[in-house]
Amino acid sequence: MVALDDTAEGVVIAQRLRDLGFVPGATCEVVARMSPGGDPMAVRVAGSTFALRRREAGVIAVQRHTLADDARAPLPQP
Amino acid sequence: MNGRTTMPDVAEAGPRHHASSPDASVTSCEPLRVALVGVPNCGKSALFNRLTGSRQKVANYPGVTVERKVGELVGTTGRRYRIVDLPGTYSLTPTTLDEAITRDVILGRLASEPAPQLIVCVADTVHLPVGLKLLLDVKRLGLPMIVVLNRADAAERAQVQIDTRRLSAELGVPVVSTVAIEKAGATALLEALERHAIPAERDLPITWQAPSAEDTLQTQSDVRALLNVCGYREPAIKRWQRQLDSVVLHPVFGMLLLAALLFVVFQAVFSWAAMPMDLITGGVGAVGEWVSSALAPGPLRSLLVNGVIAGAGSVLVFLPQILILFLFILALEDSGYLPRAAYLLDRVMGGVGLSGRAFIPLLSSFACAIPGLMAAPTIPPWRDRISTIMVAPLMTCSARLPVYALLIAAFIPARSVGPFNFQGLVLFGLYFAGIGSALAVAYVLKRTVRRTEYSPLLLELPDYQWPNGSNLLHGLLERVRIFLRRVGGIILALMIVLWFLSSYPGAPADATQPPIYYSFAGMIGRTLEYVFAPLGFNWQISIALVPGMAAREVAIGALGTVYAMSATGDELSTSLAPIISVSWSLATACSLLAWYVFAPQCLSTLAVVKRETNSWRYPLIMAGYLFGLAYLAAFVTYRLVSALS
Repeated sequence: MVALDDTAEGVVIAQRLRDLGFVPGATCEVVARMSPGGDPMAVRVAGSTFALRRREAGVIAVQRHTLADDARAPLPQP
Repeated sequence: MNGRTTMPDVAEAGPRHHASSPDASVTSCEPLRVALVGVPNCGKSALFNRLTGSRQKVANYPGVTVERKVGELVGTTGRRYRIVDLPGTYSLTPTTLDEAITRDVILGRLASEPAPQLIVCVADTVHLPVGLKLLLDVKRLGLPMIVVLNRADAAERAQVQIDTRRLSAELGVPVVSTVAIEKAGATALLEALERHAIPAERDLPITWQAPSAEDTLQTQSDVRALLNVCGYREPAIKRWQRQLDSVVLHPVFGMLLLAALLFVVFQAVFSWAAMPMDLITGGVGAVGEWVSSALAPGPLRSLLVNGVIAGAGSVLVFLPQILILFLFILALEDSGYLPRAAYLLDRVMGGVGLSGRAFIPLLSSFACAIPGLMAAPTIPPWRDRISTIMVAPLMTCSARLPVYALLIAAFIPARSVGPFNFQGLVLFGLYFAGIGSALAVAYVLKRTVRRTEYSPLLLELPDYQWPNGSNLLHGLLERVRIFLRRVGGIILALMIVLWFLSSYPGAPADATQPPIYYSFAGMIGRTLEYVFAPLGFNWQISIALVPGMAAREVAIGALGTVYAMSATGDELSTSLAPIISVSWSLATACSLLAWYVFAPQCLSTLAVVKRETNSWRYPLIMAGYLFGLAYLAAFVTYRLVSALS
């Protein structure tokens, strides 16, 4: 994952997401989605799984990468 | 690490730096105030139970510890500890009421709770990153601290390694490993308490400032650094857990599984309970007969047989069903399934303005609305919380089960419909009517009450685990105790009052009706009959509804008393179903069932709503709307069934 959107209404959510381990450089994986849009979805980060609504997940900016990418090099930390 | 390792190594095997002679610490007779802090689901409550020996609910669901839980403990040196189990939280920056309580207690801001002198920070060894983050936040406050790495057994199975001595050295606080669900779970912690606890003086609240985004990022990178030096690698998710989740969390199969699970629960409540219920009925009948034959006829025999035995017995008989319902709820809670159900239902419930989080309070309300209402503070915004509180009594609580069970047994044939039991289907329908109307009421609230703020779901989905046998047993025993205390206490007392009201004054010499008709109870019932006649309720039912206000199931006991009293000749039955099946019409029975889906027949629920919302407004609105709905539903049902049959 790359960044959290701290603007306006995202502040409280972003703060809590950081507490849970959603920080730049962390790897998160979508485990399940309730609908194609992913509302809610189950996301695994730092060894724990959390249910997030689309709105919460929208605060998280990610950079998609595959397992093959993992093998090559970890994401650079900003 | 950023240089906080100023204290010497005091890990398990480390030298006894703080083990100053025990007597020095026993000088004060005030117990040492200890607070248990940890993220939801780290096994903190289990540890608390092990420590204090109190047998309370141990759940596998984040945020179940909403109430204040305090226990006392005496160490081997004779030192006393007062331990408070704080609600689980991920951070000192709260998003819910119970998290705010945790922060305020730690900081010493709450007037009602003395500030803790020592923090025991509990973290789940398997899911260490999130626990360690909270730990660092709390440690920064500068209070004496002991760290507990819980679920050491699960960590071993998941091949998670952690160098506790190194962690202790890095943190500068004692670190102990425990398995809270095992018998010896708290021993290591108790030893650490005895060795390291220093009774710190604390008067003033700690000043604390909410960490900024940068602070939190710094803490998280500290966490990663700590985990690295201590050799922790986060475990890969187990293959079977992943496969199970792909079904359980599936939008279609997951929903089907949830529906099937709930259906099985309600079928089981009826079919498994049949035999023990027969045994109880037989036993109560035998006791009644034995007392009848042992005593001379008179008021005492009448009180014992008709008041105490018939009344309490007809409530006692539903114990097996209540136990089965709770067994399922506890097992689902313990296994980690419940938050997943909340995840599945979040979208559906969001449509009517409820959070998926409301699923847990609402499911608890199937057992009893009161624990459900008490769990409501885990739902953050006021409107979502009020919606949850307002609809919680519509969930079919176990107290309604006796009423449903009696009426279904008396009026619904026990034939099979396909693979299902017809009686079970009707029961399922009644539960469904409660759920459906709850959704409707929540929808109305959504359209009428303005939403103030958005609240995120952010719910942890814990690893699946087998329900722990002793946890289930403790939970069930607690239920039995509560239920029997109710039967033995309030219900029995009401039965005796009702027996008195039903027996005096006696019938006149030229009586044409059973004696109860002329009694005080008969007078009240006959007055109420004017109100309830349009619903098809006779005076016996009207009488029974009055004590039913104290607790719903009391209505059954009351009916038992009323009918045992009004039975003419030698006919004295401890079994109510055969009597009402001949004396009530089907329409009356259905009308009473409809009434019970809605009726605000529980004073304790209203009292708890008053306490939780801190105003009379909501309990009054609740009582009013429930009464209106109940009357309407019963009226319509009575007319419909009368017209059809």
